[in-house]
Amino acid sequence: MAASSDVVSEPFPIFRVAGNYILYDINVVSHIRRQYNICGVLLGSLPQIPQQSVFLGLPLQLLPEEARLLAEQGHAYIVDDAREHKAAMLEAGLSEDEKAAFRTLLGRQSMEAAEAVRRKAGERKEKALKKIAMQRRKHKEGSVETDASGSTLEGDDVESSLFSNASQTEDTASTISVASAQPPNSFAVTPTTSYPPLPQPDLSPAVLLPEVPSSYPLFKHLQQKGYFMMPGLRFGCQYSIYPGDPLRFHSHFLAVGRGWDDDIRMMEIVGGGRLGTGVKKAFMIGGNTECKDGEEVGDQSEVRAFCFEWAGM
Amino acid sequence: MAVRRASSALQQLMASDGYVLDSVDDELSDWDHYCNLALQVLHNLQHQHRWTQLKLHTHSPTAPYARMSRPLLSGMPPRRLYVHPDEQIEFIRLDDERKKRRKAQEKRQVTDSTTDTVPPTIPEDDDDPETTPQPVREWVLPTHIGEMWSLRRMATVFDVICSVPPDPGPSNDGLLAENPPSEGPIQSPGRWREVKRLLLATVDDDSTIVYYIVHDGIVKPRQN
Repeated sequence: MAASSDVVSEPFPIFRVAGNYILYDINVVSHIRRQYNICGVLLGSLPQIPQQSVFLGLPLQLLPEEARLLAEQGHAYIVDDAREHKAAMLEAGLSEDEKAAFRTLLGRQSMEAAEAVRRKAGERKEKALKKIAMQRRKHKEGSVETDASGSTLEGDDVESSLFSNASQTEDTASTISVASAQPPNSFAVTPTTSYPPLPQPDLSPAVLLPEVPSSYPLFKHLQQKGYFMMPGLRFGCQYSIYPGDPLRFHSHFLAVGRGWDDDIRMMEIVGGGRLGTGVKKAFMIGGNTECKDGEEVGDQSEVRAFCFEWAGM
Repeated sequence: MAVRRASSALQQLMASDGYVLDSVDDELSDWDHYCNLALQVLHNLQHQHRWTQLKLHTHSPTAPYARMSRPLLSGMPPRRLYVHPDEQIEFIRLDDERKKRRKAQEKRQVTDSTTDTVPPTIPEDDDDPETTPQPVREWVLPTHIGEMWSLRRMATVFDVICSVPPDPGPSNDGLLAENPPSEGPIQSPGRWREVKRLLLATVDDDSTIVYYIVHDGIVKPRQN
């Protein structure tokens, strides 16, 4: 809930829903983008206009790589959503006190939301009326220069009458729209997270670390270098790599992760390199290096990457 | 009636004694095929892209000068093949400064000249090494489109080369590079050549050759 606080306490839960890694809290979403250059993909669409996929909202889906990285580094932990829900809601259930506390909290938040909306509307109205009054004054000054004081009085009258009128209609409208249990002048709030009413999910039982594709070493390497990764399907690669926040920068690389001895077809290099150069990017292939004897080095192993650009000849 | 056709320029090049074949009998080894591939690329670079001082490298230019996994070429392109984006910005900045200087100079001359004499024109020096990138020797890795590569193979090639190919000695007018390289002045890779790079030449069966710049590391792309 955005209203509750802007501070994110680590480790925060990542919810596993049907094999997907989902975040519901806007604070966590902005936190990981700011601190760990992890963007994820927003999923939530507007119920009335689901085809407007440019303006997606919460929840945020993380790539398995992103979830794994956050969990590995201790910033987050994975919670099996279905199991947690069953345990907390169906088996134990909420006590009457908890329910009452949650209702009070919801009530307060709905009042706050309504108040904020009203305040904003009031400000907007005032601004518009001032503009009208100004125009009117100008008009009158043009025709009869002496009657300046009269016009301002008239303007005030209009303003106040408009205000009272508006607030009355707003009252009736909101009383009709909200449920009868809620006090008037409040909005219906839909919480995006389940805590409260539930306490923050426990660290135990810990779900195993997310399964990641073989390109994970390259992903991790680039993330630790401060690059931002986005899904790369649009450019026929695994990740499109940005040197900073994707909202501020164009991507620099089209990256594909490979094992040290995995086959790379020349056509792949030619195709990737040519496509990348066409959109002012370089095509990158990288992966974990291995020891000479073929034994994979653990976490400290080095990642090596090669960048391909069309030579223009 | 069998007609013996004259061999092509490329065939003649391949048949020349410019390099040493591996095999003793008529069977060509993989290495020989790689060498022929390299010569095909060399021919293309020389005659279609006007490269000069092309050399075939069979041995690593760095100690212990061992034979490489496959032959490489080195050569001098007619103009700079790769300009790092930051270097390009630097060149544009320098060029801008020079233009401003010239404009100021012209203005001064106009105001100074009280007679009708035409002021001497300042030459347009496009080859100014300060503002135009000068060509540098490049490595070339000849490959065939049907090959399978891997990160390990790519790394093996990069590991044994130096940043800038060695200058061929003045006495060396053959195809083969000297092994070990002659003691010339050590080429400085320059400020902008921080990681090794080579030109990947990929030959198709129809003799089309495509060229790609490969960097041994993460290098941001050029903004052409």
